[in-house]
Amino acid sequence: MSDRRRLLGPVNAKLPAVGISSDLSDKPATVDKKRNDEVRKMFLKSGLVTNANGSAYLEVGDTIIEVSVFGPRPIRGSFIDRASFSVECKFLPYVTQPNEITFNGKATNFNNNGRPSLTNIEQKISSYLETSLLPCILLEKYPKSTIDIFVSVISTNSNPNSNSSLLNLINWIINCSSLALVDSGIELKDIVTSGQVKLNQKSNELTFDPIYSLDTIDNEDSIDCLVSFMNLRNDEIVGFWVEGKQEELDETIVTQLIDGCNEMSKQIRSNINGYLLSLMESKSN
Amino acid sequence: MILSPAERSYLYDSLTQTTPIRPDSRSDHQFRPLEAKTSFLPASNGSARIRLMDGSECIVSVKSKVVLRSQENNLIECDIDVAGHRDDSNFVTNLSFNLTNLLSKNFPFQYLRLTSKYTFKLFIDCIVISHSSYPLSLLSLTCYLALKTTKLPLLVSDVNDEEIEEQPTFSDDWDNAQLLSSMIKDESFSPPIFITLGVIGLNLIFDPTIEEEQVLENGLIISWHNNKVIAPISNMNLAANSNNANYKGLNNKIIIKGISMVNKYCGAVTHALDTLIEQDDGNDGAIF
Amino acid sequence: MSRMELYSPEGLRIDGRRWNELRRFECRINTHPSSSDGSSYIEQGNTKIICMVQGPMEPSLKSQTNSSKASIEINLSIANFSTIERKKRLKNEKRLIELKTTLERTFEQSVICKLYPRTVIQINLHVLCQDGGLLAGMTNAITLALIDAGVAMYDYVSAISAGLYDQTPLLDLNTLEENDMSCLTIGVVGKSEKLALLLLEDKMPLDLLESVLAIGIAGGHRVRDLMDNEVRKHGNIRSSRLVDQ
Repeated sequence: MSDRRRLLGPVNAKLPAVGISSDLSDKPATVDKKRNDEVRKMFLKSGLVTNANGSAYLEVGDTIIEVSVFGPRPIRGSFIDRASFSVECKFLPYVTQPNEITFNGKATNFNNNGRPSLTNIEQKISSYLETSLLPCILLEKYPKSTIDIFVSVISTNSNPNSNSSLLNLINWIINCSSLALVDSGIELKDIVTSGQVKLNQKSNELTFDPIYSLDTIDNEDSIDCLVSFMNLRNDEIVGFWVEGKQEELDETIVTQLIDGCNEMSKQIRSNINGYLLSLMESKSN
Repeated sequence: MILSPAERSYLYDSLTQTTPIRPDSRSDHQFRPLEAKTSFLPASNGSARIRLMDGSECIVSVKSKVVLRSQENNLIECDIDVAGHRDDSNFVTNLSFNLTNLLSKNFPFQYLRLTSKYTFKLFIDCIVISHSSYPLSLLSLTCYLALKTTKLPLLVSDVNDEEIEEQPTFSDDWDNAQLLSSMIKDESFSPPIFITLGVIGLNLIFDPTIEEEQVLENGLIISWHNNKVIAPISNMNLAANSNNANYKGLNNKIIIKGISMVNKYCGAVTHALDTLIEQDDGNDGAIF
Repeated sequence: MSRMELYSPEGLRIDGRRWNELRRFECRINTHPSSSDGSSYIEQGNTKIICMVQGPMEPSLKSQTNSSKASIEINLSIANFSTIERKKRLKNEKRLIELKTTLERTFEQSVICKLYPRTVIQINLHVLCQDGGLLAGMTNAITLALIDAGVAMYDYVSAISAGLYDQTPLLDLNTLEENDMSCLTIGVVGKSEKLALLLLEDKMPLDLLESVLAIGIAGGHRVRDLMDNEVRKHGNIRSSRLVDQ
């Protein structure tokens, strides 16, 4: 069964040989090096999917995410006074999902129409996105309609045994989805941006946007934290998730984590704003 | 029960008072009264049932299996079945993600180990027979009781089987079985639990009911283990439908307040559950 | 013992019963007063079943409405831990669907459906523990829960399983016996000899069928009495409460 909610290429399409260079094996694996308070450089592009109301594409490190927004679309049936909102996140079939060994089990579930249903991790990401984006959309402006967001994770480097990289991935999905929402022209209260930090409890060292690779393991003394904000609305927190191993979380640690995420979120926000401004300029020229 | 706009506004106003007035006259940090029963399933190693006064009910069974250590990644497997929801629905998978995440990170797996090759694996099966409010807290409290009363058979074969090919054998006498909590020697065994808090105005309310969920501005899920707040902590929309007009973001002070409230009051929750187990000695096998 | 002896020459079965004896039968009604309209819990030996009835109520989908009679919908959930060996079950397993239809058909005939047009009666069954006589246990649980819900029925439907070991009919089989001999489940209507349900899934010699049915009907009547005791006991408690008020 083909997936009709996403854009698929033609059946007999040939893959372009973009980005594949033959001397890849000769080079030593590049390890991203960055300062602790630095956020990795990202590539952003909006409006790539023409038949969606809004879309965005984001690349950061090895992570590639595409988000399309459909809506407001009319619904059939009974009247509702606010738009209904849904998010669906899918990994492309070959992408290893973070911590999939623990959460997804062995069997792939197929629902009635033959389409593989979402895995536990995909469902969890979808709910986090829904929770975080719900407060920013002016749903009451769109009665009798639905707004749907579809996220595709095209590539990511994650350890199938660890949770930490999951938070980092969601962080980028949130940022990308916000851009897609802006692109769709749906009325928003503010742009939601996220920050994700890792706190090493022994050295009390805070790392912004930590880099995970296939062999990163959960460190016993570190806490990962993902917080999504509406920075222009008094830094209102719309999404919050702390993950870590059997560590006591007291008020000071949590404050430290939230502040770190807030700072990172503001950096990303200024990046997104910069992108949007340059887009405006190029349009007006 | 779905509230009318007038009812919602009335409830919202009474919950946002300086001292919130809850419809069932509970204070902000009070749980709903519950009724519990443990060890009633003869074919499971541990079992528990919790029922709340509004009819919400959850049954948890813990079953063990001897597995090869080299072949298993997870020594705990949770499965949740909620009446009226599909197994692959977002609702059920999220509950099971949260519970698996909490238990697999905070369980002393080393005590499940039998020999150098073999270990116990625990299967935790939860059935939510009926529920009105978000059942995560109910589920985790029932798991707490079931794990606390889990009994595992006594190993009689040699612990060291590195040299010889031998499968572990157990005592035939079920009276020799050990409580999981007594096998864990150097610490008092206390499984982790989830606490659900509703955020409304400047107030936080513990264990919100279905009516309260409909007017909440946000929800917090905080984990509690060994008398301290641990990760994971997250926020979520507790109301079943996203059509909750009150739903909005959180202030970071509220999160901090939530953590200190949980620190202050949740010791009493685990203590109450422990007392419940002590008092529930009539193991006549009858459930009701 | 090289082979399990299901029926000893002295006339004793594996759990010490004689051929015509029932297992311990316990039942309760109105166990879930706040979450359902009618509920029951039964234990037949080690088989433990919870049943909850909602309705008669308006169907959620207009298309399910039958303007002449009530429709009965049964949801069966068998817990993963209900057998000794834990097993994950899918909701759409063929065997479960078959059991569900069998039960639905039985109760469509036993409930006076024409009294409740345009409604649905939803029955939720939770099997916590199984040790033989699954269908019989479910039927008894549904009967009790329907009585608790106040749904009009023609009479009790009391079900029991019976098997044939060599030439001897045996009543109320447990798992071990069920696996090793051909057995049938019958649902008896009240004190009559009418059957509302009969399920025989393997072979049984025709000339011996009658003796198996006879013991089954006798067992069904006994189960009916036990259920009736519980219903009356509960009724008395309720009416005494009314008097107190």
